[in-house]
Amino acid sequence: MPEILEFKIGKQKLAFDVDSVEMVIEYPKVTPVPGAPNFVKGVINLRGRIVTLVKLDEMLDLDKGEEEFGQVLVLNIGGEEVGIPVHSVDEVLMVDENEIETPVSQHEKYANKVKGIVKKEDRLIMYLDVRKILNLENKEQEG
Amino acid sequence: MAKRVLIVDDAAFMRMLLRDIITKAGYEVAGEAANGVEAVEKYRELKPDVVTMDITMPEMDGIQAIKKIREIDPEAKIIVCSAMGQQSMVIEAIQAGAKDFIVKPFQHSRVVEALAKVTRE
Amino acid sequence: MSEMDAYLGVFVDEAREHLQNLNDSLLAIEENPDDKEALNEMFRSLHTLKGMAGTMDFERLTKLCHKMENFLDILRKGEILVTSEIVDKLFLSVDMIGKLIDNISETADEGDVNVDEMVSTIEQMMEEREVVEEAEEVKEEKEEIEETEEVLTTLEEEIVHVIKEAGKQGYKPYHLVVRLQPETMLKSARMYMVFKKLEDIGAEILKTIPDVQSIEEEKFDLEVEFFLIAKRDKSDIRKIINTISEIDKIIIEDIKLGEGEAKVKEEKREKVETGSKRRTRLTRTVRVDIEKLDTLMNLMGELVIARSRIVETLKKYQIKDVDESLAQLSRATLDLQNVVMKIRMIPVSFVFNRFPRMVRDLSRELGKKVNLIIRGQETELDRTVVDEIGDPLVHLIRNAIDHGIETPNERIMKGKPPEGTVELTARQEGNSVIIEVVDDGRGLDRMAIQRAAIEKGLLDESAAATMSDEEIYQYIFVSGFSTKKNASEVSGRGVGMDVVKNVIESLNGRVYIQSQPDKGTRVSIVLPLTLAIIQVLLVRVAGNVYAFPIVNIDSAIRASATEIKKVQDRDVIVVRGEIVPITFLRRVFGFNGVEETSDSLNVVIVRTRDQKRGFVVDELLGQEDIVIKSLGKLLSNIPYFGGGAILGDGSIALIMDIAGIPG
Repeated sequence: MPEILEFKIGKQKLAFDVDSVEMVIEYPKVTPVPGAPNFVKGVINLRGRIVTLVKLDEMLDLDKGEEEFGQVLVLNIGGEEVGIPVHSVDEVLMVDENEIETPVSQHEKYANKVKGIVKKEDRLIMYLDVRKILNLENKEQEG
Repeated sequence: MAKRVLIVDDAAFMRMLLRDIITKAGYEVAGEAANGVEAVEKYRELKPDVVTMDITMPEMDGIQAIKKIREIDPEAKIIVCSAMGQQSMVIEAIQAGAKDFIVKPFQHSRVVEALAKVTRE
Repeated sequence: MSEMDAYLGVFVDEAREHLQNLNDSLLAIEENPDDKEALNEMFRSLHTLKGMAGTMDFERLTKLCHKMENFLDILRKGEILVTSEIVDKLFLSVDMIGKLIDNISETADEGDVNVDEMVSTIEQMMEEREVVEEAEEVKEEKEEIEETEEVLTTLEEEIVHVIKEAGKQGYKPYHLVVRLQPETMLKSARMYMVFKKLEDIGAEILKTIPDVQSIEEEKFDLEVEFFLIAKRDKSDIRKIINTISEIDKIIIEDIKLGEGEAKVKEEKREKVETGSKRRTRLTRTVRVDIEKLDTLMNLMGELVIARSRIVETLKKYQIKDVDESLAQLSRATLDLQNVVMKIRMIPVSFVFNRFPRMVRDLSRELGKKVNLIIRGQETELDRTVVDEIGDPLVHLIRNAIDHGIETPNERIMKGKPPEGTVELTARQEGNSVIIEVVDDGRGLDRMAIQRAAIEKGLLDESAAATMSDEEIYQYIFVSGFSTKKNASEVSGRGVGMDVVKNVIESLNGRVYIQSQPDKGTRVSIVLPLTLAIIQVLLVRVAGNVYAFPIVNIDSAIRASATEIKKVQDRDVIVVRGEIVPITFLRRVFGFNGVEETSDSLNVVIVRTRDQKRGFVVDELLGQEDIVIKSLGKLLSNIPYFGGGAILGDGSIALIMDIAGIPG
């Protein structure tokens, strides 16, 4: 039974596997990186390490609204750390496999990046595939 | 009187195999243990002449068990049973006080030789 | 199998050392065919290599080494005279050994190298010997005897001394051979039991053959020899060893330090001299994964940063009490930093070693006489740098011999000695290491380079006339630039000086050329001592801090806006009579706004591959040592930056990759 971390960008509810989230930090000072792919917000100093911030909203074409980002989810994928700015981090959920629905209409941007839609009470949470979103090898070529 | 052997191995199959070899060679199996903790308890209780000790086991591994048993009885005669490629662990076991080692898969003659050498000493 | 894999790395490393040794000895033999020491050295290396290869089941390598070893034995005994033909054949067979080692290194297999032909060539050469077949067997035996002699004579003076001293306390010296049963498993552990038993009875083991490390690594067949001292007598020791299982045979003898011993010692004295030379080469080492060193380096960098932050904070609050301890911390950090950097350093001899052989082959091929002088091979550089400079140096040396050094006839006509000289030197100067390739050949042809540059449209005639020789020489670094119409096979392989320059610049280094017609050419490579920490000039652009590596910087100037001119749609500025294209970093980086309100601009002038360039920035912040950090995989291929650094205040400075910024 997967354990997921629910968070919000704009009004959209999203989730990652809890295991891939290393920590949640306050939105830090961001250094822009000219010439970087446009899904890159910039880099931050995370305890002496330089970590890239990725704009998930840009990548998935989400409406992030007007509000400023308040927090950053730091993911650790095979030793590579990546930060994702979010509006709020909500809760850790245990979901049953049968609570996950495969999305029917596939927006091109979502292709392969979504594991499914989780239905919890009245909420619909987009359960994202971290590894596919940040497929680091592919990103290098796209960038 | 036949010498008494305590067999320690977490795999029942290996214990069975050893019991077979040991009995055929004219020794008496005093008891069996499936992990290090049990081995130490059984040693205290049964006072066997020889112990055959597997290295990789749950609860307490063979090397720890050898150390514990040698604390109880500095004269304890222990033969380590190891798999191929566990060279450094075997050396550690010898440092801990094991008297000999046999390598899986067991050859009857080697097991018998080891038992003979250790009990004669 | 996996155990074998673990040995493979060690095997390859050691085999390469022997290969180097073979090449070195062979060069010495070529120089002086009577060089007994070199012949012996080569024989020994082959013998060891054969043994190693045999242990690892590399049959062809074993076979080849075995044949060569036998042949060398004949040579060193003077039964066949060393001719240049023989030396050539030996070079070929050494190359074959190299090929086998390469294959083993890459694929753990000997690959498709066929040694049979070489083996029979060597056999044919051996037949030249006048001594006939029957002597063959005798010789084999003799070889063995000789080996045991060698064994005994390697009982070093120290051991003899220990034996004598221990004798006074009732210890007796023994030579013990323990042989395991053929099917013994975990042989090291079994031999360990022998050690344990001997130690349990208070015996002291002075020496083993093979050495303890080889025993631990199971690098022995079935037998191990022990030289030991003990109070017990022989039969006791035999009995005790006999209690160990799987022992096939035990031989124990007294070691006799007879009357002859004093004489042996005398001879030894001399040998110890040469022996100690060898011992210095075997410095005590630990193999460390380079990644661990990188981690250590990163941690070190964090420590440096943390320290500078503390310093800043203290400055802010004007706390003086801690000055002394702070100074201490600074010193310790600095020392630590030095140590960490030193760990990564290896001598340039790692690359220099291959050149004597290369120069020999090349000068023969081209019919030239070249004397290669190598100096400063003990100079140390960061491991990464040493790995990278091999190819550029190969290229430079090839160039020196192919294009620089003239044929003997030509040299005589010019009144030069027929033998040309190529010097390869390395030395440390401050925070740099300078490597130079100097030849006494014909020198660069300024006019030819100039003509070619003009033909290629890189230069116009009037500009060329005003340029210095050195500036003209820089054109040979431009990609695809070659003045030689028929580049010879040797140095015209499509890789040019541009590649040399690229590699050196990627290491934050620089290349200079000096040349004089008929006097020769000097190419100087200036490299930073270490890679991970570099000196930079920090600048500010639109509120962000960027770092220019100091090695790239020519100068930093202030210029009034009116000095910037348009030439063919490009902004340029004239600096000391030179036209320098200008890039406004704000524009390239997509930041809005103007550089400064005042009418003067800060321009950082940088030397790039083939020209100077200027970068307009908002503000110059000063020079600093920074620790280079990776930007991570997502940003590994971005154009403008090659890394980042964390500054004292915790902010990030991106390190400029100048070549990636469009003009």
